[in-house]
Amino acid sequence: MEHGHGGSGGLEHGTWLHWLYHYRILPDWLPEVVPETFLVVIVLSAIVILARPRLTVRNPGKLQTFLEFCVVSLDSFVRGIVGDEAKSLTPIIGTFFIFILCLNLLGLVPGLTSPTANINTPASLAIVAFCIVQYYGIRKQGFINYLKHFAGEPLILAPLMFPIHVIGELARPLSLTIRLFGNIFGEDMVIAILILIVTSVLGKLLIPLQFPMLIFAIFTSFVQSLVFSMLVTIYVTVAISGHEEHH
Amino acid sequence: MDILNIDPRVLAVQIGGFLLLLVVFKLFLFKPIVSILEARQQEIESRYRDAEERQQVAERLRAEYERHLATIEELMHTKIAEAIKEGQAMRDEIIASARAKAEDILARAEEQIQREKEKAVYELRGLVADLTITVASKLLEEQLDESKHRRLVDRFIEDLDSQITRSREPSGGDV
Repeated sequence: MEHGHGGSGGLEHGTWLHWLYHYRILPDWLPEVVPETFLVVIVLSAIVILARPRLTVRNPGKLQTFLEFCVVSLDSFVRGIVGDEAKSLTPIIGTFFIFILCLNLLGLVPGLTSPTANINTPASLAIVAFCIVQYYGIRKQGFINYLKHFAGEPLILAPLMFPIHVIGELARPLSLTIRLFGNIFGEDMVIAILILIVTSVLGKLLIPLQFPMLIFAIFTSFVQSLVFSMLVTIYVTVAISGHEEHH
Repeated sequence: MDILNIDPRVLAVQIGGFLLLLVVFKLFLFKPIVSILEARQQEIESRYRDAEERQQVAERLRAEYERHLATIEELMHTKIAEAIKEGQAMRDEIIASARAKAEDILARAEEQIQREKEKAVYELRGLVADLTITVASKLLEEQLDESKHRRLVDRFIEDLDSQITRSREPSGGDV
């Protein structure tokens, strides 16, 4: 359950990707979650790139059926929240969901850690989400109207409301980051502690105490990726509709 | 930043990784799958339309065939009735012709029988005359003139015929 390298104060590497640092392929300041993240990016990209020429209108294979199921499910999920804007938003939200789910599940693979258990990963995803929300809001309402929305009503209270709204807006990526990081980090820590108990306290009795937690981690990984994706979708919906999510 | 261990360089790399995956997913997953789903939907719709059109054509053809079948059946019945009539007429004609032929054959046979009968009678008459002459000549031992004698016998036979005819007439019997 090692998170970070170099910047984290010279902790030992605990993953299978340690050889990248050993052979000086990657710089020391880069934490091991980065090659892990890119491992996920490469594997997912390879799957879809290799599957692309085999996609057919008639007689789809098992992989295509699964990919179609994913796309249709994500599209209906996004469409249910945001409406007609789903056509352009589904790829973004879908990528968020699949990417975060895979990053979360990576921690369950022996010898690897969850990149989302390192705060840099959820923070980078939250920054992207924040930028997307602002982009959609400005594109839909126009820059001036979008700023007016921050000023609130009545206009006389704008000096008070504007900073509050800006802070509220900035709190969103922060909450997204902390939520995802906290849950996955906590989950990984529990698994690590349970493994530590098995190896140190129980001695020769190798009872897999961590196993129920691993099963539960699959569920929480799914839930956390769903929550992140759903919140981003809701933020975009709020931004393009010009109303706050009071209700 | 130090407490949370946030490194802007790592953030930038991770953002780059996500954006890379986003581009790949958009180009190789979402766009193609959406276009395939749309194409499939269009194909299904067009097939459904084709099926409907084909069904309509089939319905029309069926109605046409049924109409044709009805016409053919009607024609068949007419033809059968005509054939029956024609057959009956032919049968009547054949029967009539056969009957006429039979009557003709019968008439001719009767005529021939009559002729044969007359011929036989005539020959019999000649034979009787000859016998009579012979018998008479022998009885009378007198040689009469041949031609005279024959005339005498013929007259006698004719008289005999007329006598026989007369004798049969009152009783109404056939010859």
